[in-house]
Amino acid sequence: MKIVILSSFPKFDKLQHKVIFLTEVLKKNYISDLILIYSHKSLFDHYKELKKRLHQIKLKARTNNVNLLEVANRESLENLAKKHGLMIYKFDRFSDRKCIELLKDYNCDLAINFSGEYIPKTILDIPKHGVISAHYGKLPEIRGGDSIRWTIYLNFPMYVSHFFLTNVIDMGDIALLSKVTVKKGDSILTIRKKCQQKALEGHLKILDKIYFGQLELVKQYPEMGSTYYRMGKYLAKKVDEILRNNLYAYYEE
Amino acid sequence: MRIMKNNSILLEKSLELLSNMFNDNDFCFSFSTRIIDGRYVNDFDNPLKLRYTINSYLGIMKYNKIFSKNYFTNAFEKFLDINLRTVKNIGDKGLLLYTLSIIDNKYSQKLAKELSEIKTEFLIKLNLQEICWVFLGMTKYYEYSKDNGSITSIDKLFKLIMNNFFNKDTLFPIHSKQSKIRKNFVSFGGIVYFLKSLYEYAQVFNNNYALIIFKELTERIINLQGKDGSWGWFYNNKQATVVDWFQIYSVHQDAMAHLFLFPAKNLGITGVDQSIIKSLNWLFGDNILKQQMIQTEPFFIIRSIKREPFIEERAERILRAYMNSVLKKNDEIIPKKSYVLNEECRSYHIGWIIYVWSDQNNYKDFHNLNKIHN
Repeated sequence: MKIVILSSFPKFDKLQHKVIFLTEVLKKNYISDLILIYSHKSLFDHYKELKKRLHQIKLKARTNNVNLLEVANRESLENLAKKHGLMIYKFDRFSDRKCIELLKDYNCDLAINFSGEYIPKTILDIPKHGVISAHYGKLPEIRGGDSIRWTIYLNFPMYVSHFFLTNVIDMGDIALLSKVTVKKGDSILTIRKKCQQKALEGHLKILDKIYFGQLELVKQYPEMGSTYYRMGKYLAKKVDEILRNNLYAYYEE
Repeated sequence: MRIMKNNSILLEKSLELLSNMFNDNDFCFSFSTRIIDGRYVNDFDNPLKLRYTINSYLGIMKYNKIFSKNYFTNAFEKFLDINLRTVKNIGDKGLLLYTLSIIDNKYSQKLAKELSEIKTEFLIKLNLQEICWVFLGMTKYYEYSKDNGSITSIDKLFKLIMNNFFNKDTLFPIHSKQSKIRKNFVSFGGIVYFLKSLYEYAQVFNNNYALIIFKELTERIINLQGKDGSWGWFYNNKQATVVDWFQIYSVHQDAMAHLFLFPAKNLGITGVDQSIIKSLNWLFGDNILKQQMIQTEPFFIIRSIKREPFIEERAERILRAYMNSVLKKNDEIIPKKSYVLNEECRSYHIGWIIYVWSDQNNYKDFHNLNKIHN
């Protein structure tokens, strides 16, 4: 089985769940080859992204006692891939002609989207089984952005939904639903970490299911859910207060 | 035109007033009306009368539909024959489409097609009222016609509004990104049309996100209502504050606020009933001038209470808005300041009254032109 990992901003790519995923997936003996494709390779893209996330980074460091130096020194996905002798390709955008040509020539079975970026339709049609992604919210009910916050706001149980991407946001066939345990005292950041863990576990399960021909998909229809958009400060603050005051309805011990 | 007796004195008198604001020559309603020596005196010259006329017909057509009447139906047909081509403003076309849709008029399909073909680069240049009226018109058109071909353009309008005319951080709408002066400020009217269009879209298309934004913003606006029930006129959309209370308009108090308050009441939002009552009672003397804004013989509603300006009114308003924004505070209604009445009435106001109250059976006191006592 040949797979592609899609990610973005190579210089910032230090999220531990991606590194763990790569380590685990390489242990699977049915994986014959794996390549890593990055979008947003340029320094200017990295600068814009850093500017956008600076406030979030400072907040994370302050509220979670995170040592930014320690984070900066973590192993990146790119470095780990290099250590394992994997081919790494970098482009400005996934829609770049050379990226599309590479994917067509590579002829992979599955692409796993870890990028958080929009994947163009030209890419979605290339892998044999498609492009799979993990959505931090229960599909089909909660589609769109800021799905962890919307889950808390709407008082829904927290799930990670693995689904195949289509050209309509969060509307593809659902491959796996994984419940996320939320405990009293959890914040958005700790819930996101739990979702990341479920995401990597789910991707590994799905690879097994595809290989052993056990994958079952559930189709989505528009009327089964609603699409939500990024929350601004006012609603995000409301959600933070719900969690701070332990008012979420789906806590588990 | 003879208006039949109705259980609602408000509606009966409003229709009579509109018939006194009507021009038989061009089938339009007045831009402005005053009472001089006990008689209605109309200004039919201002070109804005076209927009006001559409608004007035909207109210009347809804009334006719609910009560199975035919007031002004021939007049409306003649208005369309003469004036349809002269309606150039895209927002006005949106409101017209809304009106045509509710009466299943033959022009609605053609107008919907025209509006759906407007390119995004032109839609983005509209102001908040205009884009919301287009959105309202298209949504109402779909609701009545079930023309699936219109869905794509309606969804496109929704996304365009939420991406360009909406401040995600405060939930307030944005008047226009194009205007450097106005981009941080939004009027009460703009907020009303934004809320109404969100609500109608949410209901027709079962869009929970739109409904949530409607509920949350409605709560924020209710919390900014004055202690005397007044609605501020000018808001800072980044700070979510009232930067200028005046002019306090009767049309906001008795009609436009209820475009979002009545749906909010149906959704069970807390505090709405009191908000409605306070808003209405403002017209019966619960205001800074203790002025009765509704007079019954002849029937007339005074347009607004405004500040006596020191300099040109618009310039003073902009200065006040900027000053309150810099100081990050709400404007205040200070009793000792000099306020005056704006003693005119505009036909669109009466149109909105008829539209809002035609299918509202509660608040019988107001229907009888009385203050509401809890």
